[in-house]
Amino acid sequence: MNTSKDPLQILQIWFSSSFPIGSYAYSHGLEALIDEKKITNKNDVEEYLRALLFYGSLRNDYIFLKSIYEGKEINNLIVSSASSKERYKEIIDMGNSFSRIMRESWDIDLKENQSYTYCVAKSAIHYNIKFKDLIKFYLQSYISNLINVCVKHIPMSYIDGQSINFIFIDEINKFLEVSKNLTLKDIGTTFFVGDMYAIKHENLYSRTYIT
Amino acid sequence: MKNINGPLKIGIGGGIGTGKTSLTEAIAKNISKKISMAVISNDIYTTEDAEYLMKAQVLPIDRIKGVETGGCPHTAVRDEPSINLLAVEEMKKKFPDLELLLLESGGDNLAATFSPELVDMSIYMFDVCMGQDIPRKKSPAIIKSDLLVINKIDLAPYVDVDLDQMKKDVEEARNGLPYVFCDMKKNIGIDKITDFLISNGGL
Repeated sequence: MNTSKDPLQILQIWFSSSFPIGSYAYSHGLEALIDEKKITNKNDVEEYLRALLFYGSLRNDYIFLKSIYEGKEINNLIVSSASSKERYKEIIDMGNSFSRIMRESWDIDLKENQSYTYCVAKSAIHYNIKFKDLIKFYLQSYISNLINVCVKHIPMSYIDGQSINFIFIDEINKFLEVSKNLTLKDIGTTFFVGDMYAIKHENLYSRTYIT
Repeated sequence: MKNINGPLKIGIGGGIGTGKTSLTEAIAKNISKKISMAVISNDIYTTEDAEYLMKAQVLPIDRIKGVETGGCPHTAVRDEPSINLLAVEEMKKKFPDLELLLLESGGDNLAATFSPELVDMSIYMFDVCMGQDIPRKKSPAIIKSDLLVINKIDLAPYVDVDLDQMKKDVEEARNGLPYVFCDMKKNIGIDKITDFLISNGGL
């Protein structure tokens, strides 16, 4: 365990949009929803993100991260919970990019072909980062990346985008409060629109994003 | 300068419609019989280009890979090339004997350059229809690319471009670095490009 580095500085680096793990290239199914005009404005984006956080894959990610902090070895479970072929590719590709940087530029040896969520949690534990700090950076940066997709692809103004980011500072805290008793047996999603459109994205004729 | 760690990686940048896919086709036609090559294209939002290259019988479709860039062509090849690096690794695993890998960027502007981590050398293309003043502006792509290709010289008279003046401007902007004036459609200049790949790239 490496305790000599300030956790907040590490988190700032990992979850900056300039950290080279390709987060600009994944839309999480949003591209398909935007192309079908199911998402056209700020309210739609807010509604989508709230559902993703409270009922979708971000809720699962929260449980996964917490469980890894409790010492559970669940990479296979995380990988098998991907709701589509492209979402599987997203978590493995981002995991490979993240672990390569950890191996070659930092000082933690992570194996290839593990999920991004698992790699981040293992690294955070290695650098003595508290779960309560990691989870906030993780969720807020995920929300931020998807807002950025909407700003570019709908398009939506960055002023609207940043007002959603502002709202989600409190939304994430609310989510953490209502989710604190969730465990691995609560894994699952009821965010069907998001999952179906992530699958639909696979067959889009013209695509700007990988997922 | 044979890369003992894997294939020679060449970046091809250039504006939309300047002929990046035509150049890829021409290179593949000239040398794919002699060496093992593959293409990674950031230009394929659809599979049209890959299917075109396959139908033109220059490369089998499994040697052509499209990468979606989230609408950030410069980011994907220069600032943050992680998604292209993954594509390179995938191609190297699929074809262990790979000697040449062309990385075609999305249609981009004159500020485009490639990350040295992603490619060994880069080619930048523009065409005469983009205007007389392109080389005079001396952008990073024009000055820094390892080879500059100027396409569609046959169209110069129709778009009021003085080709002699353009050659002078190119000569000055390149400051000793190589360039080729060509007409992809009539196969003019292609030999010089493949010669460059073979001699400077050590193929």
